[in-house]
Amino acid sequence: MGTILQAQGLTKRFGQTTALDNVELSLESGRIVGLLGPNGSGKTTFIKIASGLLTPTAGQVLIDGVAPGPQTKAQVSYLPDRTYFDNWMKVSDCLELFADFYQDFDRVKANDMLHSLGIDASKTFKTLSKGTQEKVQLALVMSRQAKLYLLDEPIGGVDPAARDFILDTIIRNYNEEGTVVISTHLISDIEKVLDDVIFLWDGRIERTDSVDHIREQSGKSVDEVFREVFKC
Amino acid sequence: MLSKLLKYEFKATARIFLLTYGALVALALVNAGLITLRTTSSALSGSSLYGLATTLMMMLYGLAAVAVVIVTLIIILVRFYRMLGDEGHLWFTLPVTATQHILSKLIVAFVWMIASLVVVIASVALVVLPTAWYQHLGSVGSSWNALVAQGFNPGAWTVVVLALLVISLVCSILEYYAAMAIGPNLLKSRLGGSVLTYVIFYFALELINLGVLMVLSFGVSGKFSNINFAISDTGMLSTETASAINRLVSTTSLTVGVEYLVLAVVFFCLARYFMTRKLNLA
Repeated sequence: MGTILQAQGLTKRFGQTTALDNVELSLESGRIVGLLGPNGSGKTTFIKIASGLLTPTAGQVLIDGVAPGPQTKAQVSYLPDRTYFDNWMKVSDCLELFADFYQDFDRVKANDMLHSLGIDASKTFKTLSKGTQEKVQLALVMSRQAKLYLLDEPIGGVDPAARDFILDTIIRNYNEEGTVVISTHLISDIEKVLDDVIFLWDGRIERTDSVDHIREQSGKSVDEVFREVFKC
Repeated sequence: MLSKLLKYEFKATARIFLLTYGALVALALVNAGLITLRTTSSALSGSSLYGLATTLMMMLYGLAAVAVVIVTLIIILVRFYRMLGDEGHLWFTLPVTATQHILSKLIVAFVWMIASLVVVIASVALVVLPTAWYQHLGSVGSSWNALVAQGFNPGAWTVVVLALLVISLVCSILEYYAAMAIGPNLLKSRLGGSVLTYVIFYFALELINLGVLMVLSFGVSGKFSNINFAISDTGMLSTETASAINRLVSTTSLTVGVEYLVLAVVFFCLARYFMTRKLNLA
């Protein structure tokens, strides 16, 4: 398995605030990686830079050896921490948009997911509840056979039952040759699906390790280790 | 990819524009009907209540015409502004270049601007239809022929005016886009930064326009100072004078056209640069 994502000296400043500080990172293909850290640790900033939504102040991030641009965007499936569809769009329009722009989009799979969720594709996106909107976005993002999935807080702000559904959707639908990066601070809910974890603190990487190694070495769950590392 | 972006941009904007146009045309028809009734019925023409209703409907029509212009401008601005906000998380993660994003917004904005202009003019023509204004269209032809007889080329002038209209519209749309793309880099407030950038552009353009006007007037004053505008006994300008006026018009319009073309390219490049190298969707 090759390297799908590489960050070299990645730094991002917003005015006087340093969101990412000289981050060095390498992610292999075929892994499910947890990008873990408290609020404001730089998780979203990192994902946005890799998605091409933010420009780094210094350093670079490469997706499959290429800087973020149209070429990488065709390979990266990004789930933002907010809803992003226009008010006029029906769910069917959202599906059509993904089918139009992403060659790796599996429309049948997306339709099946929406059907199993009981979502009517003829409904306007804005009329759906916030939770349902998030589920529609997740279904679309996970219906791509992407090389890299960047999921920003996919289980944030939803109830525990919905969290299980979301994680189940991710695990059952991702391209197994691809890598999934899930950013969250809700470790206990997510650690069962992770292969590797990255602990991010104040814009710096505190630790990168495999979940198995953390458990073997410490005899504790990732959540417990996280709480120790980020103890206030 | 550009054609796909255009498809979604038209879909996103068509509903509101078509509704606005429909309302304006409906009001124009109502007003045309009221005017027709007043001219054909002596009872109605003397009624003060009917007069009041006609005035109110005409005011409503005037407001609707102004609303079409304002709605057009607002939608053009909002569509681009929102692309640089939350919706940008969708649009900027599509495998599409910044050039394609700008072009799609620009083409759709331009089409709706022209459509709004045509609809407003057509609605005015509808309102005044009962006055049988179309009977006077023949005089346009005779005026046209008179200009040709004087040695002018009204056909070429029309093309030049239309070309200048297109270039200036494109330039002003791109000026808004560049301001919105640069804005977030100038101030913390995206809106504040965009407005500030636009104000800076506005004053810079005023200076550039002043400079172009001065250069033009100096250049023109030397070449055209000896034009004799005297009209001969036959009521015609001399061939030399007509030719000099033609040159004056073409020199002026070419200069202004090139100025706006250069500005449009500058604004396009600025918007593109800030949307690729300085994109920061916070």
